[in-house]
Amino acid sequence: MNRLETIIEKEKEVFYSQRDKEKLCSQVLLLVQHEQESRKFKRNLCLGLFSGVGIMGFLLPQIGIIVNELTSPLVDVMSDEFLPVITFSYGLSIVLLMWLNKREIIFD
Amino acid sequence: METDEQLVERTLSGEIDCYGILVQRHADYLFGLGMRLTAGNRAFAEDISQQAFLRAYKYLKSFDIKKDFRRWLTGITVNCYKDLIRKEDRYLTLERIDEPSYTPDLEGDIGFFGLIKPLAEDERTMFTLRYVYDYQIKEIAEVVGLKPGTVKSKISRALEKLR
Repeated sequence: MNRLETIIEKEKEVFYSQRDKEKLCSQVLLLVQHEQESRKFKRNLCLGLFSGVGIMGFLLPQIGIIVNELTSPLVDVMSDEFLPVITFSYGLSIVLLMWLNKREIIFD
Repeated sequence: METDEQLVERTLSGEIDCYGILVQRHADYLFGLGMRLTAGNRAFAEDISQQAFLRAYKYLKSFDIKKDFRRWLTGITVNCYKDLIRKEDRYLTLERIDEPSYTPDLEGDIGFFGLIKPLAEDERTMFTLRYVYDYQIKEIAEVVGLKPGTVKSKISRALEKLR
């Protein structure tokens, strides 16, 4: 027991010094700040997503109605008169673009 | 000089620099505790103290201002030590090395590290707190989250091993 007590008494007198306390301190504060920022970002992201979904849920039916109102007269017109013309012009543009791309470029 | 409790209050009110003062004030104490728990493994002790400070900040709101801040930090440090032992195999590998990563500038007695080496993780913790830091059984029980009877029997077992 005496040996044990001697070792313990000696150990009590030992002072351990942390190397570079300034560095440890700045590291801890940096990690704390980083953690705070990431928490803030996550909170904002959740808030944004939650409100975004809420707004979308509210607006989507309204948008659907507006789009339907806008496109329903167009569908009639397109199917009757404009659709063949539009198809022809888009087809012609695509053919022309393909022809232009195939051309060999001699000069820059 | 401001007390620990005042600094905790200021940190909680948003003055993060005050936490830096607390870190500087208790760095040596936590490092010393880490060195003793790890039987002289400096790298492990440094990791423990850093983790303890980070965890303490995380749970700072739960700290009871009426209690001793250093004692509260001790509990956190012991938990960090246990968690790091469980999580990181590299520390276990280091623990198996016979010679502790002891550096002469520490002026520490290698005899203590050699003495506690055969003790299990929890026995080592309780033995160190009881005999080096002079904690009472009740206080150790509070720190490690065990019943005083269990703490008493574990310390007796540790003493038997060392005799």
